[in-house]
Amino acid sequence: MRGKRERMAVGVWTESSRPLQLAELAELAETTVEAVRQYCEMGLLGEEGRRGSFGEGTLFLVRRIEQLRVEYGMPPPGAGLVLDLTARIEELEQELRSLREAMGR
Amino acid sequence: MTEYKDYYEILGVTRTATPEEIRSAFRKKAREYHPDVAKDKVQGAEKFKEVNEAYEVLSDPAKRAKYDQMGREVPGQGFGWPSGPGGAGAPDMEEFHFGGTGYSDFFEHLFGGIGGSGGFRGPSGRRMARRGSDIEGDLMVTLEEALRGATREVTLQRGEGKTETYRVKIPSGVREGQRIRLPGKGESGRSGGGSGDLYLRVRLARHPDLRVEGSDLFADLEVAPWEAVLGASVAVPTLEGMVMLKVPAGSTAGQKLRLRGQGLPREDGSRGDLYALLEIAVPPEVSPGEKELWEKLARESRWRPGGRS
Repeated sequence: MRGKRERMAVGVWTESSRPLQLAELAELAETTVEAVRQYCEMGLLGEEGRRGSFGEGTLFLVRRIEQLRVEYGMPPPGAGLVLDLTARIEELEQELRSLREAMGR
Repeated sequence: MTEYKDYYEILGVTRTATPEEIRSAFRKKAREYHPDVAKDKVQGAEKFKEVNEAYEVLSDPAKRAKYDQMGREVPGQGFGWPSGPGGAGAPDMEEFHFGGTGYSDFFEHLFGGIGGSGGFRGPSGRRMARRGSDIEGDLMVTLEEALRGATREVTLQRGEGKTETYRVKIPSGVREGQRIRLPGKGESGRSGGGSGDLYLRVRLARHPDLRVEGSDLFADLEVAPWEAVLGASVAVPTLEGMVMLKVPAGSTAGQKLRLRGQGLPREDGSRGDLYALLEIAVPPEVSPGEKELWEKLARESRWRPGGRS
């Protein structure tokens, strides 16, 4: 049986990139520390959720989860699934593009 | 008003062109307008991006079919046009237009949406204090920019016609799909809420001679049969110009020759490698004298490929 796919880190860069602590992450994502803790426990934030120090990619994920939750009424596990599938589509698009390039040579 | 882009005309191919013809036309045009070789750097860079955009659409069967289906209608005026990012169908959503991203308004109208320009934006209009939504757009980055890093001016025209210009720093080593966050440059907040962020998703422009795999680059290198047998020094394109590569005697087709440290930057600060993929090209025509030499070689050589007798 296929195991659960490990969430891929979203590559995000800002000029002020630095590790974020839990409270700071929650503030920037306009949510509560409790909500972020819950997302960590649910495994929605991948490896960084276990370490407790977060990068820009996790901020991106939390803001997307919040957006799907608040604006579309989606429960966090559903939001996690949507984000997983969106990330997977992006990966496949990149792979397809790269294969087309390699085949067209 | 959004201007119609004739991608076939941009690449100089007919509407019935095959994928091979499109690729060949792209490589020719991309070499001509490549910012490193174009006489007018600024105009060259614009044309290079336009050619890349055309190739991105015409080299992807799904995008090409969608483009062909739309015909020559002007976005927003013709039947069947999708709305722009955050456009029609969601009257409470603000519309945004990007400039300076390397993609035209036309492209954004046709291929924008989730995962593309204007991506993740939800319905708004709630009365409570709420931070504005994030805005997403695509940013075309050349391999040279990904290597050295760059600063670009990106404009964002908001619904009410206000245009803002941002200087976007593209970090050295940026990868396909990576996002650059501009804090507070997204949609304005409501009832005292803060502004959202602007995310620009990096799309690496295709290079006429190099392909990207992670931090490594690949170039096709055609050599003559005698160069493969005897060895030779052959010019290979890199992001920093042509370099001479020694092809060892006895090289075979499909062999990868590595140019260490000529790839894109890695996270640890080192650089990936550039691989030259050997192809053995055969002369399309031979003179009588050459034919005589080949015939002599055929008689003299006892070697048969695959050990056949």
